[in-house]
Amino acid sequence: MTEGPQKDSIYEKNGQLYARRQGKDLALFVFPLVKGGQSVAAGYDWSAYLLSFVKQYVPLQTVTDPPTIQGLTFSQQLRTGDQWFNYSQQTCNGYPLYYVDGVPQGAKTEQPALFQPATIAQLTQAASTEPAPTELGSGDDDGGPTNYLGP
Amino acid sequence: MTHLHPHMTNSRRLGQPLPPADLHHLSPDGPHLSVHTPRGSLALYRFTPLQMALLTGDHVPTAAHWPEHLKAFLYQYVPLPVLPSSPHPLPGTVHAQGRDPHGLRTWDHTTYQGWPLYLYAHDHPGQPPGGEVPHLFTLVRLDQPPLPGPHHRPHGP
Repeated sequence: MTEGPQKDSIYEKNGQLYARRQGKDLALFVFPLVKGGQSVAAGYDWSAYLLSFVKQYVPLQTVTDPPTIQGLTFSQQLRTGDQWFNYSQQTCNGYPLYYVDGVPQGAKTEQPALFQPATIAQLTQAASTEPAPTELGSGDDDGGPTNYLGP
Repeated sequence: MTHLHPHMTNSRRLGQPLPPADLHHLSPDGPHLSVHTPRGSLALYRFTPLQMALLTGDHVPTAAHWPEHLKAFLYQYVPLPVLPSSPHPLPGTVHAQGRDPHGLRTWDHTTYQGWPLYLYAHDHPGQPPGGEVPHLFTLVRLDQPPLPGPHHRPHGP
């Protein structure tokens, strides 16, 4: 009996979330300012001179079997209308998750007030102020093409 | 062009977009440009997307006119005010440009080779600079090529 292709997965190491995707280990990021209902334009809608920056951050596609980690609730949001990444994105405690190709474990990734590493501390600190995961990305069109959270 | 040198404290926390009061002059720091202070030198940064924006005719407004979700990030990069002339010869050209009088950071802004210069609010003399962000902010080299394109009005966050 042979095993099928390796599934994407999420795991925690030293208090930070990572994804294993297509055999690669990828550090995961959040955009902290999505909390509190602040409107954040989708990445493709940022100013032209910022696109090369924001396009580095790829929404993590939903994994089939997210881990069980105390204090964390994994869900998903549909990026309906996204001109770059029109698929279901993994969320954690209401934060959409992103990765950057080629950023391995331990790399310097701190960018205060912009994309920041998806640490357990970050994800649980504001969990009480997050919208419930079921409210995210229902896929209807009431809010226009960016009725999901995050860039 | 008026030079409004800000009177401020050394507080450089997030949300207080003011330069420290003890900036002396520009100086070389290895291959990079820095600003000399009695505490040591501080790194200087440039906003790298500015070149593409100018070449494509796009205008980069001051931080006050950016979307709310980007302001908190931008305010960590403090426009370098105009300083006394450097006693060290520099290979590039130093000038100043005015800034939007309706923003929070209205003082005149030092440029090097046409690039507006920024301090990073979390940097400290004697420690490695921490403000580089790929595709957004990078350290200024002494041999930095000039910023191409029209410079008929102030630009940069």
